[in-house]
Amino acid sequence: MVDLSADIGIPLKNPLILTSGILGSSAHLLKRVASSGAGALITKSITEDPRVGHENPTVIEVSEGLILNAMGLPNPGVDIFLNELETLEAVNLPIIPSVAGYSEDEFGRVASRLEDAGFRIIELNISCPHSTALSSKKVIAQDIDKTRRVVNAVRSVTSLKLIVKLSPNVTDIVEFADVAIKAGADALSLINTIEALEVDPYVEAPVLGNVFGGQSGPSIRCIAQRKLTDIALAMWKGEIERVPLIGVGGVRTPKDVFRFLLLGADAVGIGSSILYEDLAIFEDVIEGLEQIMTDKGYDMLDEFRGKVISQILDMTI
Amino acid sequence: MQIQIERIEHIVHENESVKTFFIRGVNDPRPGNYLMVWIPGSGQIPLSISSFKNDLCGFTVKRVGDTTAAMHNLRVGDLIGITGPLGTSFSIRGERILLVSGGIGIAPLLYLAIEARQMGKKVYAICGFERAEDIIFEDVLNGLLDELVITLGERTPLDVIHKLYEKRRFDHIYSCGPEPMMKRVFDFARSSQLGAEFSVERIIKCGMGICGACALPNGMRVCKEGPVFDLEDMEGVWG
Ligand SMILES: Cc1cc2nc3c(=O)[nH]c(=O)nc-3n(C[C@H](O)[C@H](O)[C@H](O)COP(=O)(O)OP(=O)(O)OC[C@H]3O[C@@H](n4cnc5c(N)ncnc54)[C@H](O)[C@@H]3O)c2cc1C
Ligand SMILES: Cc1cc2nc3c(=O)[nH]c(=O)nc-3n(C[C@H](O)[C@H](O)[C@H](O)COP(=O)(O)O)c2cc1C
Ligand code: FES
Repeated sequence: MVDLSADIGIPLKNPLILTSGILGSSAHLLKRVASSGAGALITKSITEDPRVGHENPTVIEVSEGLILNAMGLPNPGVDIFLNELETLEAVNLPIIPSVAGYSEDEFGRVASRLEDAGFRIIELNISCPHSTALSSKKVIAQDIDKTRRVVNAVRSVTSLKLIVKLSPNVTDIVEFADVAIKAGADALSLINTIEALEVDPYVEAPVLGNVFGGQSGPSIRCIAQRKLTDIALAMWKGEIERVPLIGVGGVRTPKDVFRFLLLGADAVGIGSSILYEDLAIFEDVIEGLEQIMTDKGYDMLDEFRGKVISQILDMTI
Repeated sequence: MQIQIERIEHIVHENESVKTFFIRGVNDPRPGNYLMVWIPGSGQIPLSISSFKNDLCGFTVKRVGDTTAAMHNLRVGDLIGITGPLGTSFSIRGERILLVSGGIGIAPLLYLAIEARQMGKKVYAICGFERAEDIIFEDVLNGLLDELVITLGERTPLDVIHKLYEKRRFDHIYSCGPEPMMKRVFDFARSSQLGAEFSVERIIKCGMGICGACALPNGMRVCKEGPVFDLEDMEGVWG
């Protein structure tokens, strides 16, 4: 039997995490996903007040593996969400609330509410590319100063473990990783969706209700791998502090998870591929990952985690 | 599933607030399936398939808000985006089946009635409407069904279901309509030990089973594991 246990600042029975915004908007569904084999669940991003989100179409499949969404952070607000989550007490799995907001103070207040409610770890979603109407504003994670201020603000009001979710829509993601860690991030997750848009040639109009959206699904996996690698390399080289990394973006198969682990991820998020594999994805991927490890003679993740990062480092020295 | 653009081939005015639209290009839909219908510039909503014949797929739309109003303004030749057929379908189990609808809920049941009659089954229906002006499909149903009972206003399908059961001894129930009505049909089916299926509505966002907007208290997703659920599935919701 191989050992799949992982660590992102809290211990996980396996490295698979339900990524934020996929099925995580209702306690009923979270309960169901909890028994599907995932190692942890990240909830839909929660704001202080309820948000209805953008008009439909909010999610479209452009082609196999290429998904665009502009949900616009629909959520019931922290009060109602906490009531819902109370019913999840029986779930024997880390539940990681994701927090979103429009100001440092809002992030801080929502984080404090979650800490008071007994949570120990949260993810800060500072990187949703379509949280404002027509995506008119840059997101926090595209602004170094705002990134620092938001993470700082939450750090100063809670002792929660903080995962900061980074945006791929920047020139140098390592700079943002560095700032987030210095401001108090205990772990990083990446990537959020990639800024994108689709237009229909027959009706000659944009397709998403919000016009602008974010791309996800298997089509973005290699981009996510590149961003993860940039950060992992900087960490391995000692240029920035080393914290746990959650790799997210396009993961669908056991091989994909294995790839992210080779690139230094401590855990791996699964989101859009649920469209293709449904909830069976967690058990199927775990089984496949165990098989790959058995075939290669690995007993635990640390035996090969980051192996390709070391290889790239050797090449660049 | 990807959006495909289709042309509206034909429109039927059912009454002042209900129209049926016909399009081509929908592949092999089953009664109970729905389409996500995108009206460029005005939104995208779930609509059940109300008929399918000679490659023409019909869906019947009641005007209730912005998107359905925009739908009603469309003309023959206009283009809309279609995703589907989506979701689960009615099993068409039973040899003597009862349909119970409230208002526009008759839409998916019409297609079921057509298919069930073609299979040689006995089909009875109780259709509730608010007012006489709201009645739709009366002629087609009268020509199709073995018995049609229409109820209006305060008198609901539940007020006649016991009597019809004594007379017809139907063996499976299919229902679509306002949730309080379907819950009472559920109670009736349970107490009479009859199988039953329900077409359930929730807000549909993604329509692909990934956003979680449409979850029921039992953790099932209306857009993917529904909209048609059988009685056993609904135990965790209405039971
Ligand atoms: C599986 C399914 C099948 C349906 N089939 C039919 C049908 O055959 N014919 C028909 O006329 N209607 C049908 N509906 C309901 C139809 O989708 C709504 O009436 C429509 O979305 C309203 O949009 P609107 O912008 O006109 O109204 P709005 O002003 O947005 O809302 C009016 C009402 O519709 C509900 N509604 C709004 N958006 C949605 C949504 N995305 N999903 C579900 N409900 C919503 C609201 O709760 C509200 O009660 C179906 C719904 C579902 C879930
Ligand atoms: C429908 C949908 C909703 C999402 N909602 C959120 C959200 O609320 N918060 C967040 O941090 N990321 C959200 N994301 C981004 C995902 O968590 C993830 O970062 C991204 O989709 C890439 O991973 P994937 O390809 O496995 O989906 C959402 C993605 C999708 C497709
Ligand atoms: S509408 Fe998104 S999961 Fe059903």
